[in-house]
Order: sequence, then structure tokens, then C-alpha cells
Amino acid sequence: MADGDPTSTQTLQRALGVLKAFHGSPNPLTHAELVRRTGSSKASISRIAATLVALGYLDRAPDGVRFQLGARGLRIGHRYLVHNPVVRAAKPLMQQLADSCDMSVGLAVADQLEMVYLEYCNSSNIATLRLGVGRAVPMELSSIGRAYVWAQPPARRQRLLFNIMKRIGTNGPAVVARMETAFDDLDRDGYCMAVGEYQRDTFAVSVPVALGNPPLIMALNCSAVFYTMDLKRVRNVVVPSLKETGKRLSDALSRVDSMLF
Amino acid sequence: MADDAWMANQAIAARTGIPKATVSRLMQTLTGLGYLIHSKSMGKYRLASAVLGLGYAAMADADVVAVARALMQSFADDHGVFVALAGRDGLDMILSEVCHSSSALATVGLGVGEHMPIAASPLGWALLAGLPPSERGYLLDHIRARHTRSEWMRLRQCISDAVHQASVKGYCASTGNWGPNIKTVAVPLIIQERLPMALVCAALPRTRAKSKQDEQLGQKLVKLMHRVRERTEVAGHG
Repeated sequence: MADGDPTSTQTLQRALGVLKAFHGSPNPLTHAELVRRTGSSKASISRIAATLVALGYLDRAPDGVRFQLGARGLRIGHRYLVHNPVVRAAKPLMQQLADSCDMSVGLAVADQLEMVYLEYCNSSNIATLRLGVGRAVPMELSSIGRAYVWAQPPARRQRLLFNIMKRIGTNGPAVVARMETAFDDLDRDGYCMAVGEYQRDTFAVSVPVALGNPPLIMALNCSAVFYTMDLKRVRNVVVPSLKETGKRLSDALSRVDSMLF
Repeated sequence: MADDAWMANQAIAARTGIPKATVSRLMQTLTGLGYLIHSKSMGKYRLASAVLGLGYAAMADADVVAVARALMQSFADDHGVFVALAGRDGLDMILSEVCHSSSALATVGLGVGEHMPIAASPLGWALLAGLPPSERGYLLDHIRARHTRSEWMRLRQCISDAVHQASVKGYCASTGNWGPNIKTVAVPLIIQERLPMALVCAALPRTRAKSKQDEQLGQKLVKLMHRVRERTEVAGHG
């Protein structure tokens, strides 16, 4: 920005970067870890963290040393969800799928290079899977992220892959190669699967969904802990129900202005 | 952004006291980062999905703690006991809230953030008792490796005893695991769409009539658990 003071936007971006460094997890982080994850200087993290604590976006962890996410972000998230038509339409369909497949069902949107869960339904028989609404998973390591990237127009897909490569560094080519294997599966079968890649001990199958008008791409998945995995059942029962749920969801929202999402 | 879904720069400047030129720059930045959506036709902004990344997930479980706190404190005061709420953190239980009785009859030296192995704590046993059998078995397989064989034989017995008690009475009682003569009563706290948790209370045995005291405290703790669950579910739909 040529005129005005650029520092207010920079400060804002750094502060958001600090909050995002938690990936939506309740686990506390040290000052040093925040420096490492954000790439900001020690002094700047100290200033930003103090401000965020004062505003309620961060709290001191019970040990008095580390930081954890505070209640303010929850309130803003509530505010967003209250006004969100996708969540209202998706929740009953997703819960039905979760109960019939005995798996967890998630709907995620892209947030830069991560996928954030907009809605998350557990089957009544599953209690320990750790993800929930607002959790972020890396696009490249999750089947839900790969399904999203696959559904993008070619130019945007390339840009996403490029940015992922850049972020990961030396391991980039291997990670992108695994994404491309998932793209082949999506080309062929319309879904992709990840086993124990992002969350140890869990597996997930994902499909992209285009919701609202004009269509906005999100992705829908079914996941469960590993020991319940039965490949044949996944292929013959879970995937068809997942696709059906995706279709019903996009039908339900086909006339809704996607700017409201 | 308070009550309205859509807001214009002017209203935001008025509400925040930030100069309008700065507001408009900040709004552009936030829109670029996916925190806001801009409607050209209305000339207004609304919140977008990236705001969920600002701590929604982390705190969604904290509201259980917020709901539970007042109920736990009056329970502690009414019964002269120590009450704690805990969740699972890997293969440990982690305390998210503790309440001491004002009459301080029973004080356990445990604070918020304290970790203890699932298998070696009444809280962990109650948590395990609240899980579906397949998930319990899965966790036990991982927990076993952390304990010596003879230790595990003993703990395994405690766990199956607790699971049995919980299935019959809704709570599990034991004595001496948190210090000589300290009795503990624990219940699983399983709330839809939340991570499983457990509630425990600890008391010094006062007189004879021990089993009767256990029974009363157990039933009251089960009631407390139901109230926490109901209030959380109501708060979640508000």
C-alpha cells in the first residue's frame, strides 16, 4: 500500500499468524515454538502475544509460561456459524451419514494452505477422534485437502501445489507426488483415501463438493480410527453414501448465494 | 462484528474508534486473508470461514469447563470434598478444572494442567468406563506398553473393576489411590460431539457407614454429571 501507514496491516497479519500457529488446537505453545512457527522475531512475538492475551484471544497456560488459545476466537467463530446456511443444511445430512456408517463426517473449506472444518459430526459410537469444528489440517497431508485441490481449476491447482512445495522445502517433491497419486484416484473413482498420514491411527475417504451459487468448492470426508477399517466396506458402502450425501448437500444449497457461506 | 451479519466500514469505524481510512485498509487485508467476505452490491463485509481458525476448536471444549465450574464448586462446598474435571491428552489424563471445598476437609494437592497416566488414576478408569468397548480396548493396547507386567496386572484389575462398577451404578469408587484413606468417586462425562471427559471427587472417610457414604456421594456425582451435560448441550444450541 503506497499511502497511509503500512504497519497496522502488518501488525494485524502477524497477530493472525500467531493465532493460526496453534492450528486450532488447545495445546499450549512456548514463546520459542511461536517464534519457530511464525518466523517473526522474539521481540515481536512477545509484544503480539501480550496484546492478544490482553484482548482475550490468547491465555497464559496453567503453567504460567506457555500460551494457549483464548475464548475470544470462540465467540467470533460462533458469530460466523450462527449466520452460516451451509452448516444448517449440512448438519442433519452429515449426522445421518455418521450414524449409518459409524464414522466421523467432516465438511471443510480452504484457508490458505489448510483445510478448516466447518462442520464435524461423530457417530454416536465414536468418542475419541480428536478433530472438531474449527480444527485445521494441512491440505497436502489430508485426503480432504487433496480432494479440494483436485477440484480446483488447473491454474489455481498449480498455484496451490507451488505454494505447498515452497512451504515444505526439501520434502516437497515427495509430498506432491503423493498428492498426485490421490488425484489419479479422484480422476478414476471420484474419491481419495489417506491412511495414517496426518493423524496416526486414523483413515479417511474424501470427495469434493461444489456448494451454492456460484458454486464454491469444499470437501466432505468420512474418517474413523484405523482398527475399524474394512476396505471392502469402505469401497462398497461408505464411499457411495459419502458421494450421495455430497450430492444431496449440493442440491439443498444449489440456489443459495455462496457469498453467504 | 456484533449482531449484524453484514457491516460497512463506517459502522465498524464508529464501533471501534479506529479511523475510517485505517479500517478500510484493515478490512481489505482481512478480506484478502479469508477472514471477511466483501459484498460489492451492499458495500458491506461479513465474517468468513477463516475466523474458525482463530480458536474455535480449542475453546469448544473449554465451554464444558466454564459450565462445569460453578456446579463443581457448589458440589465441593456442599459435600466438603475436592472435585476435579479432566480430559484425555494422549495416554494421560489432564486436569482442566479443580474445586476445593471451602471447609477444606479433603484437600488433594493437584492443580489445573496436572497430568497423570490414564491407567493409574481413578479419573482415567472412569474415562475408560465411559468409552465404547472397541475404543477402550484400543486405548488399553497402547497404555499397556507403558507399565511393567506386574504393575499392569494390578491396574488391569482396577480398570475392569471400575468398568463393572460404572455399568452397574454409574460411578466407580475406590480408596487409597490418591493417598492413604482418601476415597475417590469418579464418573465418565460423555457429551455429544465433545471429547470424552471424567469427573472425580475425593473425600476423607469420616465415620463407619463407609459403603453408604460412597453410595450417596456416587449418586450425587452422577447427578452433577447429568447437570453439566444438560447445561452444555443447552449452551451449545444457544
